[in-house]
Amino acid sequence: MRASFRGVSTRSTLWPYTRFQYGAHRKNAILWTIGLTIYCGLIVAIYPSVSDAIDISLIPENLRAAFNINDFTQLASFLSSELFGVILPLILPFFGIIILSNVVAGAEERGRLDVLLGNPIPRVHLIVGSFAVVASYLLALAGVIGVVVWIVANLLDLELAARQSMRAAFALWPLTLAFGALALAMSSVVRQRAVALGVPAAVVFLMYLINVIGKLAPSVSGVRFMSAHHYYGTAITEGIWWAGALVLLVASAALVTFAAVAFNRRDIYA
Amino acid sequence: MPAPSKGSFAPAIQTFELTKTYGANRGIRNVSLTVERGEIFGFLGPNGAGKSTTLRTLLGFLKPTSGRAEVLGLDVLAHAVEIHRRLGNLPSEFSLEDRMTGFELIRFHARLRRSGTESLKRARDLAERLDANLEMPMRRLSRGNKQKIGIIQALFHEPELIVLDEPTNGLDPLMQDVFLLILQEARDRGQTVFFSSHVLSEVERVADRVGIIRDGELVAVDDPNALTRRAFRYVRIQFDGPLDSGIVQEIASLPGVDRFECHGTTLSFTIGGSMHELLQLATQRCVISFDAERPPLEELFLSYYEDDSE
Repeated sequence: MRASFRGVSTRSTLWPYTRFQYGAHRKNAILWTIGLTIYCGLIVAIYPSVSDAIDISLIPENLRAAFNINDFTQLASFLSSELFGVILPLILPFFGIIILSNVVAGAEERGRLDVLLGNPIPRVHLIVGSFAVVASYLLALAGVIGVVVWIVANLLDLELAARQSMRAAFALWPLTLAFGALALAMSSVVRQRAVALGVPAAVVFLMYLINVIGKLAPSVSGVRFMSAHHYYGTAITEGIWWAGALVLLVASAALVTFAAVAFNRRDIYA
Repeated sequence: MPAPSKGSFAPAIQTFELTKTYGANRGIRNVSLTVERGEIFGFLGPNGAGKSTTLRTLLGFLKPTSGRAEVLGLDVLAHAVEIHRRLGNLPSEFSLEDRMTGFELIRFHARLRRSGTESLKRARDLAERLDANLEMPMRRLSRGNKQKIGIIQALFHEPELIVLDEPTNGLDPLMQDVFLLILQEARDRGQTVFFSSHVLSEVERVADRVGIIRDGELVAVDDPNALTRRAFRYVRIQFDGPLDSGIVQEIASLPGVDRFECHGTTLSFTIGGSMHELLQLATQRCVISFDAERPPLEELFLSYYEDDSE
């Protein structure tokens, strides 16, 4: 009795909560890893059959610029326009969006927040812990993507340096973090998980379109600065654009801070 | 004796004109309430009366529109985490992590609370008494069994204050008995229990004091017996012969008389407050029998919800 009555501890609840979240999303992360491994491996594997089949000179120049289509005789260029240029920047953000849209709005909707917050856990720990878990899983997924692409390329005797593969994969990390942070911010503000999920999902595609349109039409190229995809760059061929990555990381930090403040101020209904 | 902790001499719960509104007719208004340490306080009201709103405001989940509340001597907004460290909470509507077993959930909560292995042993003991399955994934548990896990997670760390919202929901009568006994034992150890209910018999059995909330306003706080004493009585008077209309009218118009009926030589009605005038009038005739019964708490409870205009 005495121990629990006086058991006022100053030790953080952040680690137990973060550990709990790691366990909660481990299965998701494994499924994503399997899916991405298969998909990325297949894309690299089909490269030899498409490298000579497509004559990029037939593609209009502005389209080539919009989709980073430079030279399909090089695997790195092919991956820059396909895997790392379209598919992964559009798909990978959903790992974070799905999980982080659930942290507040989803948990409240399902009636799970009351039981959890009945414990001595500051609300900010839910925000920070959840984001840290997603950030580390995304980093691991990026690492897996980089390694898989490089291994399959080497197995097929295709020219691709490990450095190129890894920097292309890790350039995805700030981009996916930013969209995850947006989902977390939405989750802290709205009460319907569908909204917290749907809005960031729409923003992913909208920002991608803004970036592409900005490249297609030089007269509106200024709008590209509104797109997170603009700051993603083309790391596999040109290296990581550190300034762009920094912008995405700062935006992520700002959105997570906003989420913490908004969650701290809101009423919890269930 | 353990050293006094912060706010240890303050009441367990104290609210000051606490108001929370989220719509035209919802919420609570000017609720001023004190729950002393070491008592079981029953908080009665039907759905929508404001019980859950009061509890959720005390837990810091809802921010008061006006007024303030202190739990264990600490402001509920400024010290929510510290308060949660020292209380156990069972919400009325909740869901648990489906993929986890009850024990995994309790262990997770124990880690958040750093409550140690002794508390896990208490969780096992509670599970045994409540016949709860701690080893089955919670997605496979019935509503009642999930409620047991909810009760265990609220109690296993032996908090100073236990806040329970409709805790017997889903429990069978046998388990309700066990649960009420557990609450009494907690009170005997010095813990404070604040629980809401609309099952008045259980409140009457264990509560030291009762608060009744109606339409968001606290209308009465007393011990269950005093509430009953203070309330109306069912009166039935049988006279030795027919009554003239004058005396019938006089009795019917006495202050506090309601539900008045006259059948031949018998009058039946309810009366609140003093029966002095009634007795003076009635004894002007020959009274064969006079019955004045206290209402059961259930009926008393209902009386607080009757629209004043009716």
